[in-house]
Amino acid sequence: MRELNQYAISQILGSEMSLIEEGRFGNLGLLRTTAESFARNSQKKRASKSQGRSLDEDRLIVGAFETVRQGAAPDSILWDGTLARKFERQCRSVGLSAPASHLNRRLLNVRKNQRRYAGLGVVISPTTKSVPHPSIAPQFAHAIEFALVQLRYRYGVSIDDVLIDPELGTKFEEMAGAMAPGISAAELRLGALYLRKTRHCKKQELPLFESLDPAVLDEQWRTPKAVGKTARQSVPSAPGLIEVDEGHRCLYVTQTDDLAPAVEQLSTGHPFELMANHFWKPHLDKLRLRFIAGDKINGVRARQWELRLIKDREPVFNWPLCAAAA
Amino acid sequence: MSQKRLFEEAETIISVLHSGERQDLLILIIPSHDKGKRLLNNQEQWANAALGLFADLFGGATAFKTFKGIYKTDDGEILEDIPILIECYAKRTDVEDRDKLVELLRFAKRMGNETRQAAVALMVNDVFHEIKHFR
Repeated sequence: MRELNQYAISQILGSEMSLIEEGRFGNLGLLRTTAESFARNSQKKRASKSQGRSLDEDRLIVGAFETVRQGAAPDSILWDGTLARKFERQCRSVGLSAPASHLNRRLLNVRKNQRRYAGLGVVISPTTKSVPHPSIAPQFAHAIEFALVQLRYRYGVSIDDVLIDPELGTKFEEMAGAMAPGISAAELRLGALYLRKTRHCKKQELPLFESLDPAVLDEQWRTPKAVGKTARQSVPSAPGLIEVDEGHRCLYVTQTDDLAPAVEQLSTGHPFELMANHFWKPHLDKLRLRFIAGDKINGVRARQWELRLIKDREPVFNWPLCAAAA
Repeated sequence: MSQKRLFEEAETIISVLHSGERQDLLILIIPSHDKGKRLLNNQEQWANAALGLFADLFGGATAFKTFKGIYKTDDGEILEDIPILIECYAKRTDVEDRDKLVELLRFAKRMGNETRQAAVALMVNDVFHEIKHFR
């Protein structure tokens, strides 16, 4: 027998549906049916109360941010540690006790849904302070990416998750900082944001992306050399593409604005040594590095090739492409 | 003859044996190949991450490299593998902790999805759980 279409009934009744234990005919099931009905009713009341409370909290969160922001953009809490801590303290002072990661996420959620929240009377005022553009220092791009990738394997987190959560953020700073000494936490975080913004293929570039054939690059790579054996003077100070592999598998691909410092850092082998774990130790003589100089390769920007290689070769230490391009 | 002094741990072991309290064995299998029989690039990274997860959830684990594994899919296809086993003995309260179990499953499903598996295997004592749905 066909199942009863509760959705059609609900549409006719104009009702909201809740799942309850199936009722029984007559007095035998009366007690359970009544209990279920009361329980559902009180749950709904609690839910609607908590929804109201949630909006009040959002209002407090936005208010706390307005107090401390001094014109900064809401996204600044992702990279400006001082502002993030001030924001958390201010939240505490107005009685919000949720974890900092939760408060940060709620603030960014309001920022991302400004129109909806404005309709509910929760408004973030315009940003008046200029925001530094996320960027990445060529010689330390790998440090940021390697640290993020480690956190992704272990926790399955997004880049936003890492930057929003103080605990994960600290781990990221420690790991990346070990590979990029002297780089500030804010620079590391801005680098992570840069990676988040660039690790996808724009919709209008998809046809080109799909048509790229990495085999075309085969004749253009400079002869691979073991990591540590790439002569510094042979690397031009120019944009280009770098690949590090370990025999049968690709470890890392990057497009850089300046090959020389990036190759120099990777050639030390130090970054790979920091990625060693219980199951993998880098043997530097078995890691091969090769590069192609040029902002464009075969008429296509190196950044496009980078994305294509990451998709095809699934390098162990690259942040993967987001689903749209994968 | 003087009575031999027992170590404190010996007393604990004896009392646990008498109480009937048991720990449970958990084994998560980290695959080496995907369901298309392609060698994975990053088996070691998953194994390393799983060790960290088991340490956080259950207080530790041991990894074992294996000689060979074999799995027959629902379609009758034979998949061969050289898995790494992550094993630990865990307290019953930890194994039955819903949050911990969800975190373990989230990891297993993510690994299954990202490494394109037909199934991910999780063993709890003498039961072999095949996880086939990764969402």
